[in-house]
Amino acid sequence: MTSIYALRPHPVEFNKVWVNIYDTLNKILSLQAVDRQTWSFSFSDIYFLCVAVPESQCTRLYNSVKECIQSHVQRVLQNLLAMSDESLVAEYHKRFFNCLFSYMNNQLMRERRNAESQLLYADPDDAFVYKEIGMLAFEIWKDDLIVPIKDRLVKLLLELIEMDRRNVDTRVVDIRDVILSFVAVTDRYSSANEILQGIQISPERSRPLIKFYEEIFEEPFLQMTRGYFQILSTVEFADLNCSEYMKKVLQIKEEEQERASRFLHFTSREKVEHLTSEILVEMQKERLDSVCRQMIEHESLADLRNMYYCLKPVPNGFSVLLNELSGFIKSTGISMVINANANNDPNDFVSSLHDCQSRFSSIVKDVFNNESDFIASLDKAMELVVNYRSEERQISKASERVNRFIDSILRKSKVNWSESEMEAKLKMALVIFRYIEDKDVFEKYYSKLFASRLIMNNSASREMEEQMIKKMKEACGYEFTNKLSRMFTDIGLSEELTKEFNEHLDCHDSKTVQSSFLILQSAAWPISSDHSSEQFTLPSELELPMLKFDEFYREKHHGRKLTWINHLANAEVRLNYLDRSYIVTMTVEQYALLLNFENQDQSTIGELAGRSGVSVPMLIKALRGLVDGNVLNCSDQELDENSPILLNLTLSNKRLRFKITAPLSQKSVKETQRVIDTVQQDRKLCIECVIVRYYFFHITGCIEKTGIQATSIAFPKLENAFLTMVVNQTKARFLPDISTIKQCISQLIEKLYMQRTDDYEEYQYLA
Amino acid sequence: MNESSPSKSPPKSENKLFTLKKWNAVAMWAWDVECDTCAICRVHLMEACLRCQSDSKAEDCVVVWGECNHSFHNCCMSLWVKQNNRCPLCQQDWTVQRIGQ
Repeated sequence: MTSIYALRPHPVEFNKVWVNIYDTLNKILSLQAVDRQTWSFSFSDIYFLCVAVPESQCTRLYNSVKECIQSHVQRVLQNLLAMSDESLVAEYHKRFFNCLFSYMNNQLMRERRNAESQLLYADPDDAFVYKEIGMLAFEIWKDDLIVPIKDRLVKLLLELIEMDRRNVDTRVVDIRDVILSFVAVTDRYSSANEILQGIQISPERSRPLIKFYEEIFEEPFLQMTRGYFQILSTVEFADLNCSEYMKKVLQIKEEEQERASRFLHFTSREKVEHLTSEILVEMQKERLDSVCRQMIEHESLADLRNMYYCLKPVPNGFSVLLNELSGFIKSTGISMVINANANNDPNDFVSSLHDCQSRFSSIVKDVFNNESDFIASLDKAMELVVNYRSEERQISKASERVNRFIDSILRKSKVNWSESEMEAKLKMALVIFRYIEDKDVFEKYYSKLFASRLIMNNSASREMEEQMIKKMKEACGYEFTNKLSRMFTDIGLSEELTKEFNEHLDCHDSKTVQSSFLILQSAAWPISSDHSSEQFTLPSELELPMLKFDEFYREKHHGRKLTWINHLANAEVRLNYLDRSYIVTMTVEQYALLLNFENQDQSTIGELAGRSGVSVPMLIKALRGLVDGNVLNCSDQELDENSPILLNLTLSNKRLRFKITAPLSQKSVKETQRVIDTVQQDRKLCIECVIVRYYFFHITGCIEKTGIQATSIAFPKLENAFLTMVVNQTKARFLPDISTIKQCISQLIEKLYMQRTDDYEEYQYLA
Repeated sequence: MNESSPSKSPPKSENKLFTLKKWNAVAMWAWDVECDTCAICRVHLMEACLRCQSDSKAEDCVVVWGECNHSFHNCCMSLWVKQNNRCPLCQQDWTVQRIGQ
């Protein structure tokens, strides 16, 4: 209770108390010992001054403290002004730290309290703005001491830094502390200690706090540095070649960064870096740009890496380098493509392009840090290389090449690739695949070769096939591989179906020849069901299983109808008339032909044609395989209507099982043309679909909004927005040209989907 | 398979020069329809309708036949009949004859 009583405010005579406080304060400022008791007395004196009745004395106290500090600082200033240049910095340093800094630290607690009580008792209407005593002290230091001597002080500091640049030993600590004191006197958030330890606060917060520092020190410092860099680049480094120059620049840059963090406030480091790039790199950029082609061509990787680091901070600095790089990739790649074209070897094509890609992508990775601009420019260049065509409007050969390459790996062959070898090769193909523009052409080829592998049961590994489809799906999306995976599913389903059918036959005890069935979904496979109007008369023994299967299938799947594709069906036939029993695989059509020799050993093509009901050219195609396989003999080199055909009764083959090649339907050139034609057709359909869907969408929108069924919708002629819409919708598969889109529109008009009016093209919706 | 061993061949085929051991047939299936495009969504009936294509449900998209023998995607038709219970092609009342499988 007594202590509360003792703390009760009572009248105080200011002058009497101030003498004591003044004494303590002076001791603190000049770093003399203050004993504990005096300290406590001063503390309570201050308290009572603040809470004094009848009115608080704190305004008076505040002013007195201010005066006291001011006069102390004046004394220090006089002292410093008398100093010679050499000792000024050191003495400033000593003074700042001996007095103010320690003072600040020791007194922080007390001053804070003091300030708190001041705030409490300060009259809110008083126009005078009180500052915390600590801040006040700094303010006085700044205005009364730093400002009068700043010119001298800063000049000295800059000279010291200049000496440091010339590797003259200087007392680094002093420089840094003195420079940072310019920040400390204005930064009211961080303590002086924190500033000196380099603790960073966000630049937004520090900006107003470092204004004084920026004005009195940083600006002249940057000015000086700029001059220094200019001399470096125009005089000292002027004779270096580019490669050495860049090395020097990077070295200087690193040194300056290190120097900045040694001497300066953390916010200056960035500015110094900026200045380095501006003077040393940007102003020399033309020189650097002029040599980068040579460096790329010679693959001087170390130089290129230096160039990358030099140019990185420069805004838009990479433009020339990027151009040169992509230009070089293009010319290297295209010459590879032309070489591969000359050999017409898909393996060569894929592996050389893959080498090219991996070579440059490793450069991009190692030298250019995988910077996105470089990756983009590599991709763009590779795209041009892969899709290179010697003539405009030609479809590039890439799709065909890559597909033939993939087929050579996935098709069963004499070479037995190990699984990892296959994977590696397919991975190469996938790298190239990603760059192919006409993905629809690629898909056409792929599905053709894939179908042939599946139907002929020629695929080297189902797992690999599946993986390949999965990878392409990852790269191009569901729609791209949709048909391919349906083909794959059909094979699995057909195997089950064959099994079920055979069980079904066993149950009904009906015997037929051993059969297997591939049932393909017509839209998914690249096979037209009306491939040829001419059909061989099939051997009668096949009629029963076909009939039975048809029945079985209809039972199982309502609403479907089957079309037999006999030119793809094959038969395993045992030849019983030879010394050994051979089993020969041939097409069903070839088997039908062979059956003609059951009762006669010799015939002519004309006779055979009459009996099998097909034209001579078609018959010759089928016979060719049998003759080449030595099952049949013919003395004529060129088969024609009158060529006599004999059954070879002395056939011998190393293998007991062998295969007769299926008749090649078309020459490969024709085939390529056909693929291109179907692709063109599909593209038109696709564009038409996009257009029709667009209007369908708008009409349904109309109905939903107005409830009225609009029968037609008008749109302006070929607006850009409309064209962009079409291009956007199709570009994942191909890039349509404007003339094709126009063609499609006129086709739609022909088909009466749309009709033309005077100013608009109008789409008539037909239910 | 060991059909290659001659001793196993059945005596009947001894007289014939050629015996068919096995055949592998290939056939394509399509919906048994008169018109092969769906009049509602204008997509080929062998392809999934647009809705199923965009939802990646192509496997489940089947065809439906009405008593009038007109056929559409089942999904398209089931949406259509909510608005108008007539065949879009012949305007007869719509009754399902069968659904593809």
